[in-house]
Amino acid sequence: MQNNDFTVEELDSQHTAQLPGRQLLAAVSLLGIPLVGLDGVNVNVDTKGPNWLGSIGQV
Amino acid sequence: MTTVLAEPTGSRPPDRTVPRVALGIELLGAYKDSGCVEPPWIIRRADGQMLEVSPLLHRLAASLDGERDLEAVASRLSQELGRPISVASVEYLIDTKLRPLGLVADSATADPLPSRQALLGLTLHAGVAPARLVRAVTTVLRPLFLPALIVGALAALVFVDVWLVLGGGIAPGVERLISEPALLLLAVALTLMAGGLHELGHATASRYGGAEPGVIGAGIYLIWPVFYNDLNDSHRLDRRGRLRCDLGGVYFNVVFILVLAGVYGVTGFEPLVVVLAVQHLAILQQFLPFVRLDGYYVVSDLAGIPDLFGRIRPILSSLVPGRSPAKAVTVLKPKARAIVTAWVLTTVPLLMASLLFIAIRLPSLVATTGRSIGDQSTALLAALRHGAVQGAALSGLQLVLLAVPVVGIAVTMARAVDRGRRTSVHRRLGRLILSFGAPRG
Repeated sequence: MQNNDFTVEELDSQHTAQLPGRQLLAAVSLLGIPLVGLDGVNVNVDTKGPNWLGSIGQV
Repeated sequence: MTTVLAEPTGSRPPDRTVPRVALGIELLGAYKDSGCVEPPWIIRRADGQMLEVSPLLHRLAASLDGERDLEAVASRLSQELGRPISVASVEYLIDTKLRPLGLVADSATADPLPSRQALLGLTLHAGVAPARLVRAVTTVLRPLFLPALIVGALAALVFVDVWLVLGGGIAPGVERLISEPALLLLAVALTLMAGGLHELGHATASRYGGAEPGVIGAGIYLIWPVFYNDLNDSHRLDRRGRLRCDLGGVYFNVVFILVLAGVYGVTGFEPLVVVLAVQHLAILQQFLPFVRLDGYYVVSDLAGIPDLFGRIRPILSSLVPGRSPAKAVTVLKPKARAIVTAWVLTTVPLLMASLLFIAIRLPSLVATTGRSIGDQSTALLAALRHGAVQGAALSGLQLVLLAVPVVGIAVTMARAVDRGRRTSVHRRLGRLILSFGAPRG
C-alpha cells in the first residue's frame, strides 16, 4: 500500500448496517370496546336476546 | 440524490476488475436531519431494503459504474477524499463491505438480507393490499395533504366535537347499540375501515413527500390486532417529510371522523357517534411513544434517530457514574441525546411496570380468557344450531378478539426467550473466542 493509505483497521471500521424498518401501525384493539366494555353501563337486559347479552348482567 | 441503474446481469458476465453496482441501487446521500453529529449515508437496494453506510463506502459505490476499472475507481476516490487510497484497499472494501450487502452486480447475494428482529417489533403479519394498489389509491388521495385542507380539517374537527358534546354525547348511541346488538357488527366494520384508512393516511403522506409507500397489511403487535404500512422508503425524506408520514395516519382518522359526522348530521343515526368517539380514543392511543405506534416514530423523527430501542442500553450505561459513554451515545447531537435520554428514562420504567403487571395478572387473565372462550364457544354453537346468523357472527368475533391477545403474548414471549437464548449463546461463544486469544500466564 502507498504511504498514508487507509490501514486495515480503518477499512474494517467502515460502517454498514440495515436501517430499521418503518412499519407504521394502527392498533384496532379499540374495536373491542363496544363489545366488551359495556359492563359498567346500566341497561335493561332483554332476556330473550342472544346469550352474550345475558352475560353482561353476570359481570 | 443519485440513482444508479446497472445493466441487467446475464447480458454479459460481470467483470470483477471493472465493477459496477447492482441493478436498482439508489444512492441517497446523507440521512437528512440526522441526530448524529456525522450522519450515516443511505443506500436503497432494489428490494427496498435501506442500508446505512459510511461516507467512504457511499462514495465508493457511486464510483462503480461498470466503466471505470479498479485503478480509475481508486484514483477518483483519492481525489474526492483528498487522501490516497490504493487499488488493494478499494478491492478490499468491495469484497468485505459492499459485496456481502448485495450492492455489487456480481454479488452472490440475491436474496434479501436476514432481517433484523426488532425489539418489540411487529410479530405475525401478512400483506393485504400490494404496493401497486397502494400507489394507485394514494395518487388519488394526495391532494388531501395540501396545507390549507389540513388546517380546514382540524378546524372542522373542533367544531364537530363541540357540536356533539352539546348535542347529547354518546349516550343515545350506546343505548341503541345495546338494544340492537346487530349494530355492533356495523360499528366494528366501521372501526376496521378506520384502521385501514389510517394506514392509507401514512401511505398518502409518504407519496406526498416523495417516497414510495409499500404494502398495507394486517397482523398482531404485542397483544393488539393491527394494520400496518411498510414505509421503509420514507427514510429518504427529511424530518418534515418523515413527520408528515408519522402523523398522516391520525390525520386520516380525523377525515374519517368528519365524514361520519356528516353522515350523522344527515341521518341522525346515533351509533355513528359511538364509532366517532372510539376514533378519538384510537387517535390518543396512537400517540403513545413507548411502543412502536405513531408516537414512537414522532419522537424518533424529532430526534433524528431511526431506532430508539437500539439506544436503550448505551444510554442507560452512560448514566452510570464513572462510566464513559459508549460511541452510540457520543455520536448523538446534544438535542438528540436529550430527547433519546428522556424517552429512555420514561419508556424503560413503564415497559418494566407493564411486564410486571402482565406477569402478576397472567394467571387470572388466562383463567378469565379460558372461561370466556368456553362461554363464547357454547354461545356460538347454540346460535349456529338455531340458525341465528347475527348471534353467531358476534360470538365468532368475540372469540377472535379473545384469541388475539393470547396468540400475541405467546409469540412475544417465545421471541423474547429465543432472543435471550441466542444472546446467551453469542456471549458464551465470544467468551470462548476471547479465552483462546487471551495471553497465557
